[in-house]
Amino acid sequence: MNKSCKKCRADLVAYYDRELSAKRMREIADHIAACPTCADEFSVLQETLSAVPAFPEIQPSADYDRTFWEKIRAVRATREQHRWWGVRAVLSLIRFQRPVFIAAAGVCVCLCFAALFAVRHQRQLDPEERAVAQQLDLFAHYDIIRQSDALEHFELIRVLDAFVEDDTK
Amino acid sequence: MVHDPDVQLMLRFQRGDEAAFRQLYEKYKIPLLNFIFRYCQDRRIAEELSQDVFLRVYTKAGSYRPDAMFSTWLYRIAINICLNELRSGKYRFEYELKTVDADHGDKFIEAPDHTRSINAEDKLDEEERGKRVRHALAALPPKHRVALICSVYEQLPYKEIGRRIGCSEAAVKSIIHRSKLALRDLLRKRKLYE
Ligand SMILES: [Zn+2]
Repeated sequence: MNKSCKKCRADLVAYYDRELSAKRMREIADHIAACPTCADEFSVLQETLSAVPAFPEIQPSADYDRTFWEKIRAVRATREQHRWWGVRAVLSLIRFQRPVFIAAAGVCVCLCFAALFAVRHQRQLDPEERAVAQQLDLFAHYDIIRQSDALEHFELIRVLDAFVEDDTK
Repeated sequence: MVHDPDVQLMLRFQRGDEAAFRQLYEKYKIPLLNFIFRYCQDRRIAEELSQDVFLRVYTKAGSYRPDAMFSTWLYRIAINICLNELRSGKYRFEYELKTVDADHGDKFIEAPDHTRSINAEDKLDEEERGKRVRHALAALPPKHRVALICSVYEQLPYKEIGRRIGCSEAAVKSIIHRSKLALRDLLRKRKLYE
């Protein structure tokens, strides 16, 4: 078998299933048209596969639906039971582990109060912030401050401050 | 999200609409039953396994994600159940007997093949051919069998088969190639012992 026949055979089933790219489909078609051996191989494949007998189709038996919905009802019942088991477990915990439950409940209540307190006080400013806020009207006069000659001599003031600091040492 | 009316039904069921589940069940029960029947070739097992598939849809609805066609998801569940249940579940013994029977029940021998074309002698009657296909399917490894069923009986493209069995398109191409050539040869072989 030559190389192009080998390549053709490797793609013959995919060619039959039309699962190759348009380019490859054309190449195989051209090869089959020119090569009697591959053409024969393909026609055998085509004849046998196109005549694969249908598998006997079956219908669900008479009690198929009934059996299935019974299974579904059983699933639902189990789920319901599990839900009640959850509630029952909590109730029995309360009954038999009363001190533990009371302690846990107490901790929960404390935590709730603490959280509530924290949220309330979070919004209030501390004294320093409040002082800053009260001074905010300074900003209304910001242009006046900027024009004051104190700022023009700001560098000089810093140098003099440094002198004073050195003197005091 | 995938545009598929069955996905919408499944999402409705996820939100608690049981009627949507009933609609999906009615739509898929016969195709799914036949798909599994082709795989295991036993009506009773096929009925039980197909019901298991729907039960799993019912119980696992919460984890359903609409990232593929509903049918892809459904058949993936079916294939998983088929592969696992028949390998290790309660049907294993019964099923193995069947497969062994399919493997050795008939003895085939390759016909002396000079012409490489189908002649009258080579043609088998419909019933015999049907039997051979069933035997051929039973003799294939599980994933190959699923792929061949999807291709021959459901006419699915390789891409969708790959999604269902969890393989690349290239792997499906190779599986289908080998399986269909084997099927072709088997349908042309003459029986040695009548
Ligand atoms: Zn050739």
